[in-house]
Amino acid sequence: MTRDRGLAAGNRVGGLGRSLLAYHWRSYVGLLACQSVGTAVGFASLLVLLGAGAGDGVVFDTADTNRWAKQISGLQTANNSMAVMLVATGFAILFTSASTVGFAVSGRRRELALLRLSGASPHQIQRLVLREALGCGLVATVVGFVIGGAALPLYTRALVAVGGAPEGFHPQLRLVALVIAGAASLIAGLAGGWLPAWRISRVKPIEALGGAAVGRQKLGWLRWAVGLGAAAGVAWLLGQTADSNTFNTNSVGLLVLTVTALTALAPVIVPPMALAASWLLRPFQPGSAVVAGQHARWNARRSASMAAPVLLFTVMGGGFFMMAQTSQAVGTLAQARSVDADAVVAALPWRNAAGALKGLKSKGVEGVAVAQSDLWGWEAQSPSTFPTLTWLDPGTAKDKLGIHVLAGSLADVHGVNVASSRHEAEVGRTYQLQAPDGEQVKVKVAAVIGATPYLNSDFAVDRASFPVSAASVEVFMWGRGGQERVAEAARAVVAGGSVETKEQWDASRSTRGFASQARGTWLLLGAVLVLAAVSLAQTTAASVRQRQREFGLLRCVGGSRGQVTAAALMDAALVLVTALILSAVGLGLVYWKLSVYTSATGLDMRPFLPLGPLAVLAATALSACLLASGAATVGVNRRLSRAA
Amino acid sequence: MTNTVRPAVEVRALRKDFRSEAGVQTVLNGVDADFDPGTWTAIMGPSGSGKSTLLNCVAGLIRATSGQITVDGLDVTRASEKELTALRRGRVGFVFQAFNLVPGLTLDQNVALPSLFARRRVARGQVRAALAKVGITGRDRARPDELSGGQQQRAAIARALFIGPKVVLADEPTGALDVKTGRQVLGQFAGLVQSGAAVIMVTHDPAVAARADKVVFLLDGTLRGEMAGASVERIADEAATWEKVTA
Ligand SMILES: Nc1ncnc2c1ncn2[C@@H]1O[C@H](COP(=O)(O)OP(=O)(O)OP(=O)(O)O)[C@@H](O)[C@H]1O
Ligand SMILES: [Mg+2]
Repeated sequence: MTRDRGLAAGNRVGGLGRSLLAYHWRSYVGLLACQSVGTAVGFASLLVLLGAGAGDGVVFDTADTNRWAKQISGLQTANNSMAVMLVATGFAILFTSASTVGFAVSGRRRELALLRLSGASPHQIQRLVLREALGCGLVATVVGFVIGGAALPLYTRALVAVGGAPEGFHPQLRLVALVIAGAASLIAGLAGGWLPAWRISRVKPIEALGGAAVGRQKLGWLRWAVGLGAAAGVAWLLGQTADSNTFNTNSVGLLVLTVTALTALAPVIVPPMALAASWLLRPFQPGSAVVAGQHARWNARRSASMAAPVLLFTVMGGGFFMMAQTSQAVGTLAQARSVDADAVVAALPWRNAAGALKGLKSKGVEGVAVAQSDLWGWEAQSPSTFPTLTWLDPGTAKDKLGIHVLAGSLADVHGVNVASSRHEAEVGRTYQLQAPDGEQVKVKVAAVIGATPYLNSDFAVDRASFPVSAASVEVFMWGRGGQERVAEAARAVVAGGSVETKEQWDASRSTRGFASQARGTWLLLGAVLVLAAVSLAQTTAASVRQRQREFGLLRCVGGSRGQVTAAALMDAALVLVTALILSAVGLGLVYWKLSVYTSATGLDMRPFLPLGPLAVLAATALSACLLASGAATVGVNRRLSRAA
Repeated sequence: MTNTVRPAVEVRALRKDFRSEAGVQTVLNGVDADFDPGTWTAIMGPSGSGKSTLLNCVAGLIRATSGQITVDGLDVTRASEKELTALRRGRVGFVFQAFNLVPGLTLDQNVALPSLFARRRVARGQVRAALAKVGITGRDRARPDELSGGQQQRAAIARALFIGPKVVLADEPTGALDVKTGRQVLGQFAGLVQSGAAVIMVTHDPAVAARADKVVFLLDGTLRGEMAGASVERIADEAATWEKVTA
């Protein structure tokens, strides 16, 4: 009998979860990246939200009611946009967690079945998987805090720059935000992982024995329920008529439900589509195309998990884009309608805005100002869309509309989209201006309606702030290429003010120039794009690595290295292209809904589909997938050659 | 063998049908057998005769169509998932042809797995001892892919040994091994039998079957031709005869 020192405390065998996570960590890299950035954005947004409530850093100018109203409204804007941001990031974390965990465990059916065979209960399997998701979430949360805290100043600056928050706004770091954001991130991560964990815990122990893991993977009732439920929700929302109060909730709901329905039902939609698409590739590489098509078809779950991030990012990204445009346009119109005054100076970003505002004249609003903006990528207003107005010809406008036309704007919307307070019309002040036709007019400004804070930080929020009635009319039109000419005319008439073209404006304020701030925003968008690519690349690479044995077999039956690589690349491309087609369907639904909504509000406006950014997104996604699967296949091929 | 000992496994009128598009295929039809503690039984039979199916039924991995199987007092044909899980944690061990070990876990974790799931505290020394019994020393922190096939099989036996099982089910445990390694692995089964387990082993190899206490043949859905203490040659002859009979 030997004395067993091993019985001493601390020398026990255990830590299964830790060992398995250490072994499978690669499949969680995508989740880690997404959840970190999600937590970072959520954390920063929450800080902004709380800071906006307290008005951190803003010195209120109560003496100047106009400015004060602006500050308050700026804080409200920050508050509202951050609330949307928080919902979106929460959903993104939930979603990436569900698809990553689902994917990570789907390749481990056999291993988990073996654990069941070794006496693990379904409950223990589920907890094991959830603990992996939690471990990943803990790391991601800490990383997210660091990134979010570090990026907060930049985030706030970008927000102020685009008019989403008042000047001087500077949110403080708050412990409560740390607690709430951390808890929310962990809960969203766990909640997302719950379903795949539950599903895999139902694995039959006998699956440890055979290679029977592949085969027709039926859609579980829960997935059917979620998918069909979400689809029903989409149909219901499409039938609803939203007003300006419910518009935001309805649109976000539509986006979330569309993505949920598409991804939940993806296992039944994506495989047949991918298989059909593989027929197109058969003439070129028959062997590889057959392998790729059948793989995409039979590994329905894997195909669905690969398609999921593409669906999420394209539909959410494109949808939010269109939604933002619509809500700006509609919001501005609502503002314009609520103004009970004679003059309106507006920078409206939608097509045919002049036509829409013309209606205001019947309400006694005589001043109509229109400026174009291409911030959101609107199609440039062209003469053809303005049957009543001729571009750059104020005289014609006067004839046709029967309203006065002034060269030069009180809103001084600078060519593209920015107004500085120095150039803006001041509400309540009277301006003596000279129209191009020589007529002298006095204009008292009743309200300045900016389409959005993005376009004009001086926008109407409170009707009570604009009680002054005006007796005159202004139409502002600033065409491309005509800036200098119009500016020249304006210089002649704007009393005591200086008028600059956009270039001059940018040059004189290079530090605050919108273009440079916009670059910051694009940088953030780029980061999100990279993130999407990372998670996609990781899923693709993992999917290739899981197939090492299959590839070995393909090589054994005469497949060349190139053919095996081609099969892997085709497989990724087929699934992705299918996902993009589905995304287009989802975006079409959202587009249709938004169009119906805008026309219901009386706006002749169609949201502009951000084809450029979407194309960049699609190209990035596709190349990330192809690169990742290519690289992974090269790795697998090399390992196979070494083993051979 | 005394008759007062209750069999570790009792199989009564076992029937198993597989339904497919081609129709119903009856693989097992009226299997009756007792497997006593401390005995080593080899099951032989042509490919496709249902040997693996029988083993899977006994393990509760698939449900019998009709009949009764009692494993250490538990009727596995009617047992709940919970009861089957408990059975796997403490009373039944498995050894397959290959892929017995969880790739992400170290050897000692793999060996201790059933006990860890049962929330029993496992001392490292005990695991090391179990591994040493099957001839693996100093490798308890290694991962399965760092071991040879034979070492992996022996580790799987160590895992079965470790829970002190009443029944050990083995489906072609030496099928993927060369003769010498196979012999070493079989030696470890002898240890299991000595510890009082009923070992039920499926094999195609008469030389392997000869190591068992008795050999039975599975033919046409039933067990036949039980032999005890037979030589390799006799088993080979018998197997050839039976194959001719059913052909
Ligand atoms: N899940 C299943 N579904 C349908 N038929 C099955 C299933 N499993 C086994 N069979 C059929 O049952 C019969 C017996 O299979 P089993 O695997 O038990 O044979 P075996 O005796 O173990 O053969 P081998 O010696 O080749 O391993 C075979 O005809 C097989 O086709
Ligand atoms: Mg078999």
